[in-house]
Amino acid sequence: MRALVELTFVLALLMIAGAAAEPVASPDYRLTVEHREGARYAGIARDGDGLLITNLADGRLYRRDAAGRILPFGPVLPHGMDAFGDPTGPYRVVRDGASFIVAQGWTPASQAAGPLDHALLRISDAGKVMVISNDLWNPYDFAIAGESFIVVDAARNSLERVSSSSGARETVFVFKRLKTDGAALKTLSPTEFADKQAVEFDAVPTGIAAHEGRLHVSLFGGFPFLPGSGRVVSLPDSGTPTAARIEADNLNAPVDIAFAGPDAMLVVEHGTFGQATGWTAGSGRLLRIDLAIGKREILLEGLTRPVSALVFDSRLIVVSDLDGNLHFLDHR
Amino acid sequence: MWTSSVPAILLMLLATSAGAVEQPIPDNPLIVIPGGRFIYGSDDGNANERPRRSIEIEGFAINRTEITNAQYQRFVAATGHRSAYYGGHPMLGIDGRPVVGVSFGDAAAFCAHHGLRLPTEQEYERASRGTDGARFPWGNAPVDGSRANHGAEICCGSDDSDGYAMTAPADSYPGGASKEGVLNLLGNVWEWMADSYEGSEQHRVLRGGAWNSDPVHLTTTYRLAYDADFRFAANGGFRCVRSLN
Repeated sequence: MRALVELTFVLALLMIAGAAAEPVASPDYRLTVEHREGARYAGIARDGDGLLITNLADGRLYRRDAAGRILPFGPVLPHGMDAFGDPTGPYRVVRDGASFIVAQGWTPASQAAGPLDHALLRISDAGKVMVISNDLWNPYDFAIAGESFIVVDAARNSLERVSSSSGARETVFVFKRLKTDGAALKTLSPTEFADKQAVEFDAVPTGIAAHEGRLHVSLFGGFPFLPGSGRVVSLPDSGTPTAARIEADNLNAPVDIAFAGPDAMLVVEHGTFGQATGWTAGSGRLLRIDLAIGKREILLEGLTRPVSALVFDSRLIVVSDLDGNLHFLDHR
Repeated sequence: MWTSSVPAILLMLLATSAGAVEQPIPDNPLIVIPGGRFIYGSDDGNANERPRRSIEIEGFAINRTEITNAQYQRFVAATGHRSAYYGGHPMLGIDGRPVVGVSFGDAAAFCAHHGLRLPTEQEYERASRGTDGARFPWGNAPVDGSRANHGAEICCGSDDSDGYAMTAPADSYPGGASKEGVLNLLGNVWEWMADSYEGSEQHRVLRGGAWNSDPVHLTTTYRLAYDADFRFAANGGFRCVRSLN
């Protein structure tokens, strides 16, 4: 992520300040929260009747069984704070046949770079690690596309196609910077923004979901993290697309996408950012957006540092956050 | 314990060309800048830098370096003031690097704790340009990586050709020192000034450019104004001054 204004900010996705109220679910859902002290939950995926969870606090993968028991498996992967002060480590995990695919973030700042950093990894049931590719900068999420993976590189601001067999990488799409009215930032800095017609900021891709022939990608608006500067776009899931289609805009730092039906897109908003206070505790939300008519509904609000959403089945949605919480939304 | 008799703020006296100056921050001496006339402002930069003119200033003493993380942390430990936003950052939070991630109020509180204050814009320009309106602290030779921690040619990316991708040690770049020996008045981190911007108390001025500044911003006259409460700048720090009178 490159600074585009003179006074620059280096914490990107995952830092927040303040005290939050309790999360509140839509009346249509019953909310249960499981907390694990010290955990920094990130990726979540379904694995049979259970869940796969990544924990950035200890670099471990966890399996939560149907009875609710959470146990680690596999190796301890690199983890720590990155050069921007954000936690890095195993961002996402998905089962792929008899093994697991992990998006492993960039190198922790306090450690020497190793082959498992900024990589797409395959981990066997026995815990053996194979590097599919580490020719990535900061793989934040991925989608399985036949014999390849479409990887979100949140440092290149691109989608990368990585061959499952050879690990060869090719860039599928690079997201252009977004623009906003400079006047919106005049209160932050009258010398930097007052006279500008438009201010550019990075379009940082975060979550990805393959759905009905298209790749849906959430774009987290970079610094100064203006309210509503995030969006979700989609691209064809094959070939080399030349343009992205806007599916939803006016979002607050979206970090993940999931689908609960043909037109029912779920979006995790990381939250809102105050120029004097930072990320606002409790400002994260889970939205359901009807892509056919554009209707938006808040399924869960009051979240602090939410990262991922999973549609487990037709009745259950799970949301993770960096405070070690799993939020279970049961449809009434 | 014998240490209980040591005052929290150790005052030292160092001989200077203008006489003895109390040194409230032992590892960051105050350098005396004599009073007198000097050139202030620029006719070459933005409208808010104009005009270039000769003005009178009282003598003052200014920290030799930007305030470091270690110095700021001692202040936090002594007062309970909030930590710098990047105090725990693996690269920005290193002890000898300039503290960043502080608001105007944080910076002013640090200086006041040591019996000091933030510099005015006039004091900054006198310290960084000398009396004759030099372009840079070292004179008029262009900026290069041996004199200042600067950014890329195009705003506002970092550049490690000067040895550092982000902040450099506060006592680095002796080749870029001012005539009086003050370091990093240009580059490394923007420095909060005491002045409000165009009458708005909510906006305070920062001077001097930073590790990501391009040539447009990396001048001794560029005036950057920001919300005084903004404390998330990874390239915004400060140093303190004391009046000699």
